[in-house]
Amino acid sequence: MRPHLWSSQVTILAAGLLALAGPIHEIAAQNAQRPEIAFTVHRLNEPNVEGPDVERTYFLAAGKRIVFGQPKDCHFTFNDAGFLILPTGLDGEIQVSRSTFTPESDLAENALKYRESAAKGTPKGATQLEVQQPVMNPYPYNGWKSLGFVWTYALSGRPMTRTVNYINLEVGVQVVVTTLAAKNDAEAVNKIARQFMSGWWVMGG
Amino acid sequence: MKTSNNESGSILLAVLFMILVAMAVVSAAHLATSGQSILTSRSADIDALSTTGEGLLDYAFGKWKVAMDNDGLQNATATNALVSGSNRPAVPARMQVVDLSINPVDANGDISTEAVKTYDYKMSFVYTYRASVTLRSTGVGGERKVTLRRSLVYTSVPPTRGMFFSEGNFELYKPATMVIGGDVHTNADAHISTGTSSSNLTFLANSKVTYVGSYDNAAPAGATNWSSSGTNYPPTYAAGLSSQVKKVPEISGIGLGTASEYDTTDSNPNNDGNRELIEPPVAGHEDPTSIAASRIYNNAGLLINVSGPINSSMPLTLSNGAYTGGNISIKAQNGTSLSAAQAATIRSAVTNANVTQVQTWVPKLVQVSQQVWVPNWVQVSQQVWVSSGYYTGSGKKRHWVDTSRWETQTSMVDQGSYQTQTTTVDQGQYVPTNQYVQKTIYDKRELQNIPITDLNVGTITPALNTLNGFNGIIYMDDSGPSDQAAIRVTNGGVLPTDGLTIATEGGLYVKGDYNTGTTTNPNSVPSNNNPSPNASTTVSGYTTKSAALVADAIMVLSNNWSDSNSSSGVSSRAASNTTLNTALISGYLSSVSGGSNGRSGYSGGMNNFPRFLETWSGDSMTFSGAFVSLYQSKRFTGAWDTGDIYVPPTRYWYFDTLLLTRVLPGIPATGGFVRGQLSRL
Amino acid sequence: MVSIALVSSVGLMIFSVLTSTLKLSSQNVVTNVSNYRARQVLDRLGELARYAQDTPVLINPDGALATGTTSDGVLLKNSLGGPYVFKNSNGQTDTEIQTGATSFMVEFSAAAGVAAPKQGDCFSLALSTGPELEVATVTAAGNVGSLSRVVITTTQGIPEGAKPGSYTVTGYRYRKEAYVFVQSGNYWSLRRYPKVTSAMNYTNSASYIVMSAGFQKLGTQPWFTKVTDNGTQAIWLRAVARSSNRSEYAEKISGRNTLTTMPVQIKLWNYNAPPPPTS
Repeated sequence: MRPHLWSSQVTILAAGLLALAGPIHEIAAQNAQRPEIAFTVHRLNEPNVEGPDVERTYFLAAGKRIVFGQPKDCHFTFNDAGFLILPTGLDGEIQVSRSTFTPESDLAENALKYRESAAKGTPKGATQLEVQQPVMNPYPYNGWKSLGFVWTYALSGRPMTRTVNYINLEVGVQVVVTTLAAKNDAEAVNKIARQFMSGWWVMGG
Repeated sequence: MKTSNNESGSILLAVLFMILVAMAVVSAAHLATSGQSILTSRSADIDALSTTGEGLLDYAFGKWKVAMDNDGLQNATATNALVSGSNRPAVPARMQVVDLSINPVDANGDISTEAVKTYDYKMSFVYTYRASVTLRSTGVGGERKVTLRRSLVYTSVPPTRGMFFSEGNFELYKPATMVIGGDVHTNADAHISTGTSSSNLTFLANSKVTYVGSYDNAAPAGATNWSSSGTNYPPTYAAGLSSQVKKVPEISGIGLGTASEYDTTDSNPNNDGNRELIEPPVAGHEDPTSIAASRIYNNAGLLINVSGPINSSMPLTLSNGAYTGGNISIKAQNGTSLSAAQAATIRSAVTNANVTQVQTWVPKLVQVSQQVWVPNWVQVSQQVWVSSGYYTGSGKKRHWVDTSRWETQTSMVDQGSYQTQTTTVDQGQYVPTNQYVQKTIYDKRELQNIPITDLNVGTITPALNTLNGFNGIIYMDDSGPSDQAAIRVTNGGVLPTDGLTIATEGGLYVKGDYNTGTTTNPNSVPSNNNPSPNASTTVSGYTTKSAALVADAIMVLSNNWSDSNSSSGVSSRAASNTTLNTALISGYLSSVSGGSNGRSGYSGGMNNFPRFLETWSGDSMTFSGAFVSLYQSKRFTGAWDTGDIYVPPTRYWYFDTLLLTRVLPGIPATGGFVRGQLSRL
Repeated sequence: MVSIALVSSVGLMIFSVLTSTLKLSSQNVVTNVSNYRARQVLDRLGELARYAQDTPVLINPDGALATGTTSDGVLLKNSLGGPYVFKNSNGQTDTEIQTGATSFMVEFSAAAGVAAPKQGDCFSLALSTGPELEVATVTAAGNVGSLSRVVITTTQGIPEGAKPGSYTVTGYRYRKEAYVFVQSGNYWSLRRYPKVTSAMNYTNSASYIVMSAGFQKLGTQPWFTKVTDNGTQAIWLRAVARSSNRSEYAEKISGRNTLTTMPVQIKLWNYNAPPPPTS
């Protein structure tokens, strides 16, 4: 399913895809060692023990079903490599994909390595690039450990904010959440990203 | 021909006689007819007088209700002024108001000059007034007069007089098997259904369901995307729907005169609704008298404020009536006398901090040099030989005229250079440090780490029992940076002798048995040891105390709860049998069509009014008390779901009949104005 | 001679006109009064329901509660006022009233317009089970201050205990009245049972008065139909109130038929529980 593009978001999406393109090569090389994550979405109608019956949407990671709620007021697309969320009315996007690292790479000890990898996605032509201090546990949900980085820059004169967040899920895999937004919309886009991720839970866990 | 005089006289007499007879007949007919018209006219006039009289009594009810709501209890002078002089409405021209009055009456109906308080069987305060009207009109056949009387009754009812009181909709949408044995009231609509069959949800004969809006077996209004699946069965009413389910007037507010003050359109944050009960007043704005009188914050005997991780090694100093130190403040008010030693004991019962390893970034700014081309575009002029010319002449005279020349041309040339630029790069690292931070638990419904402050009731109770003048009300709040902080009540098996109300504006978690007499062993409570419909809810020898927990949302944690599992999957959070004997007064969330994070949007219903966070399958949660859903939750607004949040318990839930007469510290009454008996004299 | 003849003729003419007037008038009066009396019965029913203690209840001609939503009869609780304060039969305020008690001290204030109860009256008590007790006997018990007292016994025991020492046990008095349509030939007569008690037999003619004999059904509608209107119960009475055809209202001068019809629809709606406004 192709994402629907608005003209103002073409550049951003291109940058996002570029970022996504990078790690994929590495993923191919390391697949043999890492538990499998497939972001293809499945649906399950579950009779509830009480109250309304619900439809659960989930993907598979490390053999477990990870249930999530589709974000409201967003265009949501997926392929096996990841999710792409385009919030309606905001100049930004959210991507969720496999990380190039594994949980065995301790987030705190290897912070600079994580940052170096995350920096690769900064678009060429970005000016006034500033990187903020790393953020420990930007996604403090479900007992996850996470590490995040924030860049601000100008691209073709437009101020932008980019965040890259590495999250160790409870099933033993690591995912990366990347947000890219015009500076004015960055807070709102990140809020949607946090809300989306906070709703993940392991079925049967 | 002439008649004789005798003949003339006879004729005259005969004529006169006939005239008299005719007149008599006509009179008789007239009388008969007018008698009929008198009956008809009288009947119609009495009807008109009755109708007008009833209208005047309704007018009197309206004026009385507004006066009571705005100005409190009214005496006879005040109530009669409401319907006299220019306050008396006009009546049709042919009628006269002989009397229109409103008077307080006592239990025997005798008029009193002041409002008379009586008690009804629920120990509610009852104030009865009598509105009386006499109307007169004159019509065919004479005067007609009608006298009508109606009782006007104000009942002040603590909302704990029934099993479930709800300001918002009362919803039970396909709950697990449930039996309800207490009164249920909603000031809005009732949506009650069960999913399997009617026998799955039963209201016992003593359970009355009263509603103000509407009643149906449908899903709550607006819940379109989840309400159409399957069949909604009506519940079973043991004594029949018509005798158990009734529409009634609203029981509103948190005390006399509060509901009329509510206004969400003005800029005053101190008058927005029932939730003012748990909120402190906002400084700089008027606090309406009736609302201020009901605030638990104002009525508490002890105010406990926490502003960060509590450090009990810091000294407590007395300042502005409060013992303060180490991020905690303990203030006695409303006649409570508190010594320094007692304050220290109370502080020892309040804990919220632990040592946690925190990764702290230690920057290491490093100058990094690199060669960077710095452009320098310069406008450069240069002489350029421009070859040009032309041929002229013809034939042999044809010749080339050379016009070549030097011209000045200007162009931009980058005359930049590589320069060494030094940038600052942070090549720091994370360093783990042990810090004293406020403890948190992960709430799977709120999807947040919740800053928690624990109140150990077992530790504080002996101190409260010796606290002179203490009225049984503790108001506790966390004014730290999080807007979703909560207090947690632990070790609450034994309460103070005179009862205890604990209130907070944030969330409230209650962990383990509460008001059961449990000290160390939950299985000493029969309802935990062997849960069944009639198992005792207290340890042998323990008498329950007046108890109420009041908060924005109340979460019940079982005896088996462990903080370390709070963020684990639901199957790791196994509960155990737990019993509570208390009133729970808390907020609700309205059902919506679709919730966030894939949740249905259902409120959870009455059966999830106390919120669960564990796997309770095979375990029971026994409850004896009352549920009061008084306002919308503002801080704990996580939508309901089962999923990874909870698996429901077997619910043995009872209405505590002691609450029919018990006065719970700090819990105000809601009031209802009712038109009482109407009679025609 | 001519004059007498003239006078006689005129007199006869006047007499004839007057006689006709009388006849017509009497016919009208008879018809009107008869219609009026028939209508009056139904109006009284409506009035009773309006000021009754509670909503009307559908009953069968034998007095049993009707199971469906239609019936030939209706039972009303004719409100007789109050309040009455109930105490233990010993009159002591601090003595509890036990479950099952059938004897009570009842206090009331004549100054407030409250009258003594009578045998066959009923009391509705403001307690959790809403007991309704029928008075079997009444014995005067003197005064206490300005309050009158009687001791009553009831045909039923009170289903729950009460604590006059802690709260006021208030009762309101009413009398059960029943109205039942019974078919008699082509028409129906309306029986009024002025005092319905537990011992009363509905078929015993001493228990009832025939209010009017000239009723017909409005079309094929049942006499009483229970409906729900705005969430409140109401009962429709639909009838044709014909002239009653009672002998005392018969017009026999010229043998003319005095029966006329007057359709009636009354909603018996208890005003003590008024319906909510529709807007």
